Amino acid sequence: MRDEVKMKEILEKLKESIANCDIEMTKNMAKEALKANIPLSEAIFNGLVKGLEIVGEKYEKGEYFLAELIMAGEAMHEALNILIPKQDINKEKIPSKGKIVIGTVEGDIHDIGKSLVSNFLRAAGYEVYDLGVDVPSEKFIEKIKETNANILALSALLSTTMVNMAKVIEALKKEGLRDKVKVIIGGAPCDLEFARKIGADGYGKDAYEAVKIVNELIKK
Amino acid sequence: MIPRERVIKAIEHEEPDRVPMSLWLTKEAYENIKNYLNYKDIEENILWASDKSFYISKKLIKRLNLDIVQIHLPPPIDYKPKTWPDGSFEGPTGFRTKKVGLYYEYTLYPTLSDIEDVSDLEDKFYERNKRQLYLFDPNAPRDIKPTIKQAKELYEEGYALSTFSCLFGMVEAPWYYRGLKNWLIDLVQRPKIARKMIELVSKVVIEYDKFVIDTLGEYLTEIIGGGDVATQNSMQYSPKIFREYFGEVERLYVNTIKKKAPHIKLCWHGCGAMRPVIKDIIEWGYDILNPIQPYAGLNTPFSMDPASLKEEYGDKICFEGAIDVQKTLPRGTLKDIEKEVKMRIKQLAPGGGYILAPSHNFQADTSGEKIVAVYDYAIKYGKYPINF
Repeated sequence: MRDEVKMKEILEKLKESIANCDIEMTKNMAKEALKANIPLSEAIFNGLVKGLEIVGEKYEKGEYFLAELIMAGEAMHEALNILIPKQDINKEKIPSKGKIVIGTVEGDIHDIGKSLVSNFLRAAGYEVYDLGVDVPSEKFIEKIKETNANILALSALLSTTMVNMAKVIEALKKEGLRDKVKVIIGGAPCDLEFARKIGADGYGKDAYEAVKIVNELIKK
Repeated sequence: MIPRERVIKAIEHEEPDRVPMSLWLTKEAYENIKNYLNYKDIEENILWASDKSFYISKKLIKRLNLDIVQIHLPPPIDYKPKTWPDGSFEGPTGFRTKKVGLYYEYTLYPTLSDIEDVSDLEDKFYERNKRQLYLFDPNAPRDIKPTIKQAKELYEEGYALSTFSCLFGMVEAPWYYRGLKNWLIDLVQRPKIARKMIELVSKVVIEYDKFVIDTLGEYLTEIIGGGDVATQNSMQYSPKIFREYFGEVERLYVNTIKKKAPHIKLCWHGCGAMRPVIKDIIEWGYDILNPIQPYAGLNTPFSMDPASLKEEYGDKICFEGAIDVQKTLPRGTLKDIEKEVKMRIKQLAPGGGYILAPSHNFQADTSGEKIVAVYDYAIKYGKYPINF
């Protein structure tokens, strides 16, 4: 009984520390969670993710901004890095909801939006392969083949580089992979109309929408 | 009416003879225009866009009927930009940049990202950015005569001259030094570092801009500063943080410039959905807001929708920009562009307070034909009174 109380307390604090975008506190709480042998899925889904939901609500309401999203994303990233390597010790594997390859397209080095989406998807239970920025089509193809990914997430901040998203989709078709992988896109100049035009399966205006869309696409 | 008069009238919320116009573009877009107009062997001697260091021709300024012309002081005579083995180099603002795709990226080499202790910041700022800061040293030897001669000529021809504030203003430079992620965390969680960074940058900016006014001030109509505080759909940080960190130093900046040169108008260049802080910028004394990205913050409380901006702030600040470069220019037809120009004039021009320009630099993805069309349509629809 005492353990259960302690677990609840730690989960609550994990949630709070993410909701407050407090990177140090989140790291400490992740360590506490390990010490208390809290199951990994509990720590993630009843701690961190709950905190992230609060961050999302505050962002939607205009109480939080990019700075807070980045800090919550970083806190999440740090916490997962503490929690996940120990999963074998806990003898638990979180069931992966799917595999995602993500990157910013060629000619574009904008990282922040893409990394947010990457962290959020990871937190939502996906296995995420983040290829970074300025990623040529071949690199995306290579990774999709290697991992058998279900989803490809493409980012571009520039109207001049968003056209490279279409090139990646063309390359998928050429390789016979288009039916095997769903493609979502995001980034400042993109919209649903553009996504449809280049034959992508979805568009997310921010990291929260990206997670929602991936959740829907993966069910199909 | 001469261009300068037209610009000043617009800024002061009076209706000139037609909507004044300015040009923001990348070097690649300039090449597109030149090829389209078949401009060969023209004299290109006006330094455009201080960050890109390219020259454009007066012939083009006339062809597009521009009213605002940019002018920038040269670097010190003994300053030679350095190139690194990885292909990066020192751009005209002295920040180390690298060309990725079509763009010169500023943020890849933050010189102060590793500093954790605020007491180290001042020394390291001067030590690590010595070469860059020399560019803005008022005492450095400069060959300013040709620039002054050109400024005088353009002034006498009636143009409104504008120049960029040192480091593009005080808002963005701290992030170039610290790296964006680091800088945003500074603002939220490391106030001592954030304050010190702003203090150091503001000293450089204010001193250099004073020097610019001493040398070029009599010919200038506008200084462009400010900086980006928003993203496509929201702000980078809260309006409260913006006010608390920048309010005092921006007021000091505006007062310093206006006291020295009351005729100079100050423009805040800030991309994205920055609506919640427009009232602050007005309060601090800025006269112009650029570039008004019409689709930023769409369907959010941060919306930069020109019609509603005009309604709320139209009598308090002059808008410059708003011709959409995210969708309409690169992806629209000439018909779409005509519609866009007409619509923005209708939304923003009545009563003055509007300078027509793209909603950021025209990009490589926009043809010369489309860019020229923007200015031709603006001549067609921009005559006062606006009554369509």
